[in-house]
Order: sequence, then C-alpha cells, then structure tokens
Amino acid sequence: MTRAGDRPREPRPAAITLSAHHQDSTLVIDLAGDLAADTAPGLDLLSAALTRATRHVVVDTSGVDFVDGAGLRTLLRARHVCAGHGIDFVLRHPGPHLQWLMDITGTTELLLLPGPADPPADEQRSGGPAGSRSRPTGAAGPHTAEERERLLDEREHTAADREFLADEREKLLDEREHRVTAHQEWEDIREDLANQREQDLEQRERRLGRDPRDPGP
Amino acid sequence: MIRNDFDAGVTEVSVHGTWNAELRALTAPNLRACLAETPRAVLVDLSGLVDPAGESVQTWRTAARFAATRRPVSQLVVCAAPEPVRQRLDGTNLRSADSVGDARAAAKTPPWTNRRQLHLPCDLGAAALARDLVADACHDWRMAQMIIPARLIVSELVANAVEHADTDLVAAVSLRGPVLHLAVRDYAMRMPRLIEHDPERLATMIEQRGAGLRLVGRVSTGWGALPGTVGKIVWSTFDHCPGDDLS
Repeated sequence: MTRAGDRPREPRPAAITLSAHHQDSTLVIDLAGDLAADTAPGLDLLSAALTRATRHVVVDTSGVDFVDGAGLRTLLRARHVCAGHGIDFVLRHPGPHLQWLMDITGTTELLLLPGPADPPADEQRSGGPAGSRSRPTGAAGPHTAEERERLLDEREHTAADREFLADEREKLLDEREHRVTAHQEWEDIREDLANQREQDLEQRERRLGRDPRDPGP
Repeated sequence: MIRNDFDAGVTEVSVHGTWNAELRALTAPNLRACLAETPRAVLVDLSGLVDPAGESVQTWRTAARFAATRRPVSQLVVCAAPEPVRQRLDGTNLRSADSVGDARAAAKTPPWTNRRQLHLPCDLGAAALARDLVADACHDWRMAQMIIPARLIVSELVANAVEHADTDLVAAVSLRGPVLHLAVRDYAMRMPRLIEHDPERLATMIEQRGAGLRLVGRVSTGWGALPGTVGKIVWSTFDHCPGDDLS
C-alpha cells in the first residue's frame, strides 16, 4: 500500500541546545530542543558549568519541545549529582508534555521542589542576586562549616537513596501486579474453556443416551 | 506459529499437530495475545491440525466470543479446518474460509483509511521523525489531546528498536475505532516465538529492553510484541475516548 506518508523522509537533525550562566551561587541552565534518547545520553547538564561556589541549580525547560524516559533520567541524574554535592536542583517552566511525564512517573515533586534544607529558589531570585549568605542553615549548633556541609551532604545522600529505593520498589510492585492480572486472565479463559469442554462432553454423552448426572436404571 | 501482517492489520495463527490438552493450553492464550493487539482479523490456519473428534471447536468459539467483545471488534476466521471440525462448525456463527489465502484476501478490504506509516533508518534521528509522524496524524485526525502520550509512546518504541534491533524500521499509527494504535516494525527475528505466553519471559524482556518499554506499559492501554511476516512488531494501544463506546 502506498500512501503519502510512506516515503522515507530526510533524517531530521536531533538537537538539544544548552546554555548556562551563573547568578552568584545559582547556576541557571537554559535547555531548548528535544531531550530524548537520541540527545540525552551524551548530555552532561552540569559538568561544564558547576563550580565550587554553586549552591543552586535551576534548569529552565521552557524551550524544550519533548522529553522521553531517557531525557527524564538525565534530569534525575543531574539532580542526584547535585544532591551529592549539597546543591539544590529545581526545574522551571516545564511544558505540558514534561509536566504530564513527571506526573505519570511520580517525579514532579523531585524535580519541581527544591531541597528541604534550602529556601525556595524563587524567593532568592525575586530578592535579587543570591549571595553567599544563602548557605544552608539547617544544622544548628557549634558545628564547623565543614562538618555542617558534610552532614547536609549525608542527609541529601540518604534522601536520594531512599527515593531511588522507593522508585525501584514501585516499579517491582507495578510489574508484579501486571503479571498477576495477566495470569488471572489466563486462568479465567482456561476455566471458561474447561467448562465449555465439560458441557460439550455432557451433551455428547446425553446424545449417546448415557447422561452422567442421571444414571439410568 | 504467529505472523502479523503489519500493513493489513491481520494476524495469522497456524495451529499444527494433534489436538490435545497441551496444544489447547498453548493455543488459547496465544489467540488472546493476538486479539489484544486489536487486529482487523485473526486468521486461524488449521490446515496442519489433526483433530478427528473436532474437539478444538470450543476453543475457536471461545476465542471468537472474546474477539467480538473487543473494542474495536476483531474478526476470528477459522481457515482450512479439517473435516470433523468443519462439521461441528456448521450451525454456529463462527466465520470460516476454505484457505488462509481466501481469508487473507477478504480481510484486507476495505483498506485502512486512517493509517500512516513511515520508513525509518536505524539511527538516532529516527525517533524524532516518528514523533513528527504521529503528532501530524493526531493533529489531522482532530485528536490533539493524544499528541502528548502518542509522541512519548512512539518515541520509546523507536528508540528501543534502534537500540536493540539494529535494522531499518517502519513506524505506523492507525486509528482503530476507539483506540489509537502505534506500532514499530523491525527486521530482526530475535524474539522468543511465543513471547506473550509466558509472563515470566515477558517480565524478563521488559528488564532487558530497559525502562523505555516499562514506561510504554504504564502509559498504554495495552502493548506487546508479535512476530511479523518478516521481523517483529512491537505495538501499543491507547484509548483516545475512554468511556465513549464507538462500536
């Protein structure tokens, strides 16, 4: 069958563009294009721009046309790397497609809310350039700066690990449920078939004059 | 033996051997797996079946009843049935044909009206082309609300094929009653023959093929893989008007 859409098209160059700039301790990354299996795996969102002074990362996705599972993994990986350095990571301006993808994968909170130890990035942005005063202040007491940082690091790590574990468990549960449902369906049809067969045999036996439920004299 | 004719939307199932409990247990779930794909028709080729008592009739009738409850409705056509089966089919409303060839010819008409397909090279840009194909189709068929999930599904299907099959591809989108059907065909034969039959094996396949298909599974109404006339087809269906019965 030949249709208009049947001809091979010229391969469209898959493209993602990234630009990053610092506003004091906040690294703002503007993404545009498709963040998908063809572009996402080789993309390192952070390494080029992350500095020792970076405390916040804001990824602006208003220019992103499409994100698939691989693209989402790239974002989650970047968030994980940030968490490991005690940096909070937040996504801004997701389009409806990305919002939907985050909703169905349960990652909305992870990506849209900044880490609990820090004030929301929006506050800092609206209050002008954020300075070094916005260092996390979650751990009170006579800790040194290094200790405090180490504790925060650890806490972020545990939180991230817990998220990963919860995610994995959910996946496993999903799969098991799927398998159980499928199995139940097969069982149903098998039972159906067995019933039919039994009825059939009964009919045939009745036709032969030997009704099994009513043994003759 | 299962073969899906990708262009016609028809799946042929050949049943070989002597009918017994084992063959029945193998056949019934495979028929269901084929029907789940929402084909126009499933043609059951019985030319290789030995069934002197015609005992297999109940299986074909049950499958036909299941086919009739599907949305969209699929046809089940029993082809080249051996004489004892044919005799017991008389008087039932089960469709039958003298040969698979006859049934095949009948099942292909009328041609699809809402179906588009695109040949794709096996490279990383293929997924982007497939997304455009599907987005254009949804737009033209006035189903803009489907664009977001449909682009994701076809993109994951193509990306998986590019990664694992390493052959050229064809992506297709079709409107089948209340269902939007997305499929990607590749030319790699590497697939267990009865992949839908064994839930354990299906789970393994999902693992091997990574999280992309898991995502497809979460978003789709149904999805699966079938051997094609060449290579294989991985498909996904999506209700575009849930609750609205268009039958």
